[in-house]
Amino acid sequence: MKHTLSICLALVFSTLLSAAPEERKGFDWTEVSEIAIQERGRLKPLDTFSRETVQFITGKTSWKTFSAIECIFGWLTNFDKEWDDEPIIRVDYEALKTELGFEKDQKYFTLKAVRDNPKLMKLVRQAAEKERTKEKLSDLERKTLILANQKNMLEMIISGDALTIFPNPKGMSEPWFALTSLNEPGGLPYPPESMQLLGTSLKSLIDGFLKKDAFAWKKGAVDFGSVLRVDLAKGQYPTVSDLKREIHYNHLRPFRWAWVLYTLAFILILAAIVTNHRVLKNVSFGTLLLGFGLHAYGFVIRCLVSGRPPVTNMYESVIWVTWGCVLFSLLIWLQYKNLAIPAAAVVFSIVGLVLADNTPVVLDPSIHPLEPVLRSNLWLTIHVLTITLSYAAFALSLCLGNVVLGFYLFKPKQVPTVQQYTLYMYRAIQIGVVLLAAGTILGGVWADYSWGRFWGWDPKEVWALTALLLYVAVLHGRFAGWLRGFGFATTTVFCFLGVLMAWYGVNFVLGAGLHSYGFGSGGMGYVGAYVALQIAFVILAYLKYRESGSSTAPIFPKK
Amino acid sequence: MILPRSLFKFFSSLKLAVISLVLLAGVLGTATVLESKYGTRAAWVAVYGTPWFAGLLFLLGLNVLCAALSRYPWKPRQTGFVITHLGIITILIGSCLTQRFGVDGNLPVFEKSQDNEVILNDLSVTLSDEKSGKKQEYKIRESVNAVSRDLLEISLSNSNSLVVDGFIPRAVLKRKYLANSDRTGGSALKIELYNDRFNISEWLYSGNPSTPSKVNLGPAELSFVNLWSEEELKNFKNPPKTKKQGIGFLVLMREGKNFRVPIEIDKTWHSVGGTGLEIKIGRYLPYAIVEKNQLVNKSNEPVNPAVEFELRRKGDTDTEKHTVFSNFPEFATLHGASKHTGGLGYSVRMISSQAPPKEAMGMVGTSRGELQFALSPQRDKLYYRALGKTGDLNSEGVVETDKEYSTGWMDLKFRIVENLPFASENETPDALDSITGPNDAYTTAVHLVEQRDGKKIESSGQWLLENSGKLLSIEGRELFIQYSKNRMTLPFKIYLDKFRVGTDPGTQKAATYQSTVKVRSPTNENEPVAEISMNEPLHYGGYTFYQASYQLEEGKPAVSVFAVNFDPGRWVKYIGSLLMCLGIGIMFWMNPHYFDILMGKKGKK
Repeated sequence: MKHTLSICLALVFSTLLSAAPEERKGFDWTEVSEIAIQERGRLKPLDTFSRETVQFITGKTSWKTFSAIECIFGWLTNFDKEWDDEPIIRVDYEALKTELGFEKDQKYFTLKAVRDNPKLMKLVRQAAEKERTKEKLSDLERKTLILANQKNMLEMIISGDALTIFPNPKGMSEPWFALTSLNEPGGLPYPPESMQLLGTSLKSLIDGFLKKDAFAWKKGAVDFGSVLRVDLAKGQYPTVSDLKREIHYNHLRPFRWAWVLYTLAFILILAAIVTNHRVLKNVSFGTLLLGFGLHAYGFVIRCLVSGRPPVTNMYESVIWVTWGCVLFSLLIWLQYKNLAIPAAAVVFSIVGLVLADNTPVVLDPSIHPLEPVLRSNLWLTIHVLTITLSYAAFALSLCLGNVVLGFYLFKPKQVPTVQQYTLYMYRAIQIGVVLLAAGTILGGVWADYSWGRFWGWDPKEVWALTALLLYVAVLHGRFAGWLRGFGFATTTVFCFLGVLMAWYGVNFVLGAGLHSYGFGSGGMGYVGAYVALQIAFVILAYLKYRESGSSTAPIFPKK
Repeated sequence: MILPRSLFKFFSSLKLAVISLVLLAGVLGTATVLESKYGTRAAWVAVYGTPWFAGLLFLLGLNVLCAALSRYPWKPRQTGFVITHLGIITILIGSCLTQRFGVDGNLPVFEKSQDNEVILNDLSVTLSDEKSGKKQEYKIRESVNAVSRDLLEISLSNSNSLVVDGFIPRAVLKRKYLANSDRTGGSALKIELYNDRFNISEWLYSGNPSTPSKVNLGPAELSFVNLWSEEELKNFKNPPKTKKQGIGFLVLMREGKNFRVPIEIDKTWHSVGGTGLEIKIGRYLPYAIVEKNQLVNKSNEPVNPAVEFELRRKGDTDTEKHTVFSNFPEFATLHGASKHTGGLGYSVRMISSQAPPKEAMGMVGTSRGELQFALSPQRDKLYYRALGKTGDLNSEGVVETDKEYSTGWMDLKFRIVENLPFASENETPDALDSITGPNDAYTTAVHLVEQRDGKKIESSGQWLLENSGKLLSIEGRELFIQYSKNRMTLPFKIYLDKFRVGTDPGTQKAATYQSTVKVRSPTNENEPVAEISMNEPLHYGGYTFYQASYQLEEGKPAVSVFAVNFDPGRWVKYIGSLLMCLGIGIMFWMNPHYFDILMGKKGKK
């Protein structure tokens, strides 16, 4: 009985593999989006899986007029047909295209072209061997492996191997079964009556899909979901509200809206400051608060979805630090009531969020399970949140420092009127120094607890300390009266390079040490461009400052 | 005041503070760049572990102290400032204590065995006199890059000494074959295989079990064996149809001499000729695996052959238990012989004469020709047999060096480029300029040379790799010289009962590691049991044991590596940290005049 049933299912499944790719108007994708899938150590809705996968393969979360989930079903149902010749695999790295003999100007390549490329397999073998012996990979080798993974992923979607949607009755954290298990007699360990239900619902789903019958599709999807949830998972399935919440998070894109609102607020605040318009001031501030609220909301939702504080990779820390920067600007605003403070802060947040939104290769937005060393939530949370929050305060001082330098450069006559900005900067640095000192020491406590030593001269530790020392040096310089106005702004701005090293450089440039779970690659161009621009800006400001030197405060005034 | 006024003023100055802060920041930044280029140890050797770095920290500490003292008597509003600076001094004192009296090392323990030797970080050469048992340890001064100059001279007598005159911090091994004039050692062959499109040459070495005498070169499988008897020669020329092979043999090695013992499982004591030893072979496992923490046999396919045996001096009752694996010669034994413990002083290797099934060698579906070489027992004649893809004989005969022979397949010809009947295989370390992967992929090496009357005896020069030793005979003294990381013996032993790895749902990615251990000490009868896992260390006897890493390989028992830590400065540092953070908080957040007001004074002068 069980045997014949799985053969029957296999037949249904094989019909799946020969349908044509077409848009399906009026189809409701809600139910299938809420099917859970076990992938890369996490249970997630099919919606998330589709977005991540389609993004990984095509570089975007949708393909032409197909949404991510439609793409997944489209690929699944079109074995060896149109999709094979459809250019969908995105390759950006030019050296790799040259190496493989691909057209340089072309962005997308067909599965066939990638699969049949003779050089690719050779490159992959070399890179995989290097990876196995844990050698450092070159950029070309890294990109080669990424392309190979894109190809494999696409093939696994087409074959159904990637769709591990059948829950393991032994427990949700045991390996789940892929759609292809239907093809193997006895491949699924469910009782015959469950298999029966699975068969009928899947058949209805597929029939609906093939006949483009939106109603049958919907009914099949509802039944199929309920069989997975109730009959196969024995009530241990991820709850609907959890799945819905994650889908809500995927669709809302809170961080995109946050930077849009921040940009709007920035423009409005500038207009308000120039015109000194009372209503405009309130409106602009309201917009900023709205953006800030949405930013915070997105953060909370992400915490709920991942079940932990989201500060374990670069993407999450960018989201957190940009939020902290606005938070501190608001705190200082509370004291001094100057709208220019949050306006300066949102510039940093906009840049950070735009990067986070648009560079998934460098800043990976998907949610991953934690590395073993990070699974002590309390210390992790306190230590990392504190340290990264100090980056936020320093980022604020950087923004304010640049405002001051901007006045030196563009409005030297007005410099005396912006002296209060150095006070704001001082406040921001104070917040940063306290947080960084405390965070570094908490890191020591955590390291002591987890690795057995308080301080081990690990590069991440060392750079946190270096940044701290730099800011402390600036504070002492200010205390001694050596750094005022221009000098204080310049040194503050340069100190942020220390923060950049601790935050980004250790993981992405040096790539050494115990904090290796946070390592990544890429983004050098962006960071390098920023550093170059910043240095150029300071030099220009300095030249201007020398020119009109006598009218303003000197860098190192004598007594 | 101990310091003269002007000097005190200098040490308490803000200028010094800013300069030393910036200087320290610069040094630290440079150190991390060094680390990323040359590895973790290099940063320690070049910066963090140096006296000048300690001096820089001391200068900063002195500056902080003087700055705090110079403002004495302190005003209430300076509370934050004083607490912060006091905190920094406390942290520095705590670090000093850790550095001076602390222990930081690694303790690898095999599953179902115990250990108490903690591996520390410094490298040293240990010289032990075999007769008197005296041991002396000499620290090696490390460097960032390879050096060849005199680093250390160990005086042995009035005229003789040993000199360490080279050090390689990042070494990769390069294999070399040298002819032995004293007619000892194994045999080496360099073979060139070629046709119109293909040319490859390769060394084959027989006699040293650690290198396989079998290599796959594209279309051919080459093998080379050193025959030990006329019977073996007969079998080579006319292989018996039904292969009735023995299991193989064990080679007992000491001082460059090898003794062969055929593996016969009869569980009785046999004497080993020329050694004064007796051996009893207990168990042969063709496919040894670790299951439920026991070494068991998976099948009779010789995939991972292993032998358990006992050794003793003739007439002795004390025995040494060994387990050897044919595929893992470096993993010599379970029972402490990987370290030079004295004992019987023999290292043992197993040579399996049963060919592993082809699948185990990753050769499924690849049929290739076979070229077999064998050296006669007197090592004067080299025989060859060329077999086709189906195993039938194409040609055979005696080979002479530098002559061309045909294999009979694919127009391939071969030629013996070099034939060294008595040769030793040397692994010489090559220095790497910078790192290309994680630090543990490399080893370190020192160059050792004997010196007589102030002159180096160049021929005695040799490289010693980390964790290796050599027996030297100098002026009739038997000296064992070992080069390794410093070790420290704990007053108790850690017994590893069980080691487990947990994974993330549906993946092979390690998520958690956990070790179940027992603490064994002479004073403690009831052996406390503890679980050590990531973030859950064991505290015992002032020491803390952390789960640091592990090694799992098929056929070997698991190894769990614990980080061992003893830190007398821990609480001092914690208190200092607390003070510092508290001080900064007070300094920045409380109105400086708050305290003055509290004390009933007006703030401003």
